[in-house]
Amino acid sequence: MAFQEQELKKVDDFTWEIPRDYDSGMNVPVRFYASREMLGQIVKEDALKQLVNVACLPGIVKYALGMPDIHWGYGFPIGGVAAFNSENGVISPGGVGFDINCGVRLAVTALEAKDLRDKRDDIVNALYSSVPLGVGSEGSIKAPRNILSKVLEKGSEWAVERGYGCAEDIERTEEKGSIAIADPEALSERAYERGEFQLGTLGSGNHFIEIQEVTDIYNPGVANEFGLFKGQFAVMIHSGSRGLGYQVCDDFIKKLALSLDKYGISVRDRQLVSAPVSSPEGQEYLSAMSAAANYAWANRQILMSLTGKAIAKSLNLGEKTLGLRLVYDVAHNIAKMETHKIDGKPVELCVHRKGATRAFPAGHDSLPRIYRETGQPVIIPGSMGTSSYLLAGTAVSMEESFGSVCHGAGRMLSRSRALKNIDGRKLYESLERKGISVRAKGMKVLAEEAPEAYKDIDKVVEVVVKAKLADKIARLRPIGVIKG
Amino acid sequence: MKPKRNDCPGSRIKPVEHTADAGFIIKGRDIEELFLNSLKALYILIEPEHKNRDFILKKISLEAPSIEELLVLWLNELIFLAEKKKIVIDRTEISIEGSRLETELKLSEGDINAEVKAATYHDLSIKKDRHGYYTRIFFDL
Repeated sequence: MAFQEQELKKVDDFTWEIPRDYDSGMNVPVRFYASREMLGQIVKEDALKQLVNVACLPGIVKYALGMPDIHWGYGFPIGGVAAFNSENGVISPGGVGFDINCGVRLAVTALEAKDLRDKRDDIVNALYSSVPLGVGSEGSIKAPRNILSKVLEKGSEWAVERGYGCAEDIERTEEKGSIAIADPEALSERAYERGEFQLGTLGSGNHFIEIQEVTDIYNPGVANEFGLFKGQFAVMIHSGSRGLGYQVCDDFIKKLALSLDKYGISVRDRQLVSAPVSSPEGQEYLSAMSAAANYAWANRQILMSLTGKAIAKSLNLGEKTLGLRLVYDVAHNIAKMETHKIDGKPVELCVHRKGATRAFPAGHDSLPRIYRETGQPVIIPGSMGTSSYLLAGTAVSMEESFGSVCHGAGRMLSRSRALKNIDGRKLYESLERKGISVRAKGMKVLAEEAPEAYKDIDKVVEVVVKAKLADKIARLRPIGVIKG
Repeated sequence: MKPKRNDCPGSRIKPVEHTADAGFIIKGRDIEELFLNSLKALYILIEPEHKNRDFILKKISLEAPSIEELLVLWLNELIFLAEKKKIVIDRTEISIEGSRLETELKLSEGDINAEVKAATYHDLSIKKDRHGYYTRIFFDL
């Protein structure tokens, strides 16, 4: 169901609305952020229809929201945000997705990228051989049930306690790398089985480790607080909860489907199965999903440690000299209980971010002390071979989008179309010519993840900034990337 | 069982464009063929390879509240076997009664070359016409 531009109400140059009376089932309007130039791409696919379906869910508050990287997903669109009242609203596994707490972390080093350009091949080779990656990849950490239940409970802290990073990393991770309501007992045996050997593994598809150079500083004061300087050598890691997370999502879609009638919930797409947030079924999913999120934080914490060791070894440096230090780690597939002001009053909401990043402003009490004055660091990775951005959350995002912004550039071409249009080998050669070393399991994944398959990250970020949802702090250019 | 990406037997497996993931329109003269063609569609995506010819037989029974949920259950079981157990199917026959599936899989150790996270319920509906059964299914990649 493609929309016509004239069916959209223009709120301002970067905000568009589908009014509540568009469809009699909608409980709230749809709002999404885009430039006029982006509208053509957005309206021609089913993402807006999916936002309309989300707007029909019980207890949704204010708007079903789309970020400028919005595109067609399953159930919720990717780039979708929706908040539900904790008393009469729902929680939906489809609003989180299979890769629970897929997310990104940015770490900086004490080194300058210019000194490492002729060593970029050595670095990506070292990363490629040291970090377990690829389809169904398994690592060297064995986590049988008794250990895995601790990982599910403690998240990043579990990894740090075992020497993967330092205590400072926990402070610099969303939710301090662990959601307290996680319940390891809420996971199935199969989820435990799938999670046993996948800690410290990157996975495949769009997951990556990228080495980067800080090329642009837009706000020197905040960049300095974040620990960034121009020319700095940095690392970005994108991964999630691996097979364990997929299993939790699958298990709870099945479970929650059984309780739809009990709670009188009807959904327009079975992938949107939901249960009241306050119900036993809703609470069980929330606690299982939180446990999977903790697994993902432990995973990225271990990946960062493996990354630091591999880079230091490739450069023949000590890890102290490398000085790898976490700037921040953000989740972009998650549902969390948060307090937001509705009509001026604080209300507890279940905020779903599917392909969207939390962007809390300065002064928010969820932020660590070091970022209390700056606003939360918001990491927006570009597509392969293009720049990534570091932003900071603003008060406007808190008022308008439940403290949320986009999560990346956003796909534009299907994988099959990308494979038809793009030659992986030529892309590889082109990236090498641009000074970007690439190591991947095959040319196919490169073609699927080619920059042409994604929206222009500069334009996506520009919408976020013009809509005042976040401020630009810095831009980072890729030097090398490994993909599974 | 290793169809190539463009191998669409009798136009019974037709790729559907999807921005983020992968979808297929799948047909079958009967419900069993629809399920078998769904397996072939999954294997188009994950590109399995047998490591050896040491085949074993494994019986599986699956039951779900509806035929659509049974289809997703079937596909996610196959994804689990391939991704976690490193087992790929050489041949299978299935029988379906209501929303219960019985099958004996001829399996061997194998690897897959691309990840599918799960089969999804997105807009899933199995329909019947005079030619048999058809559906559209999306996989999360």
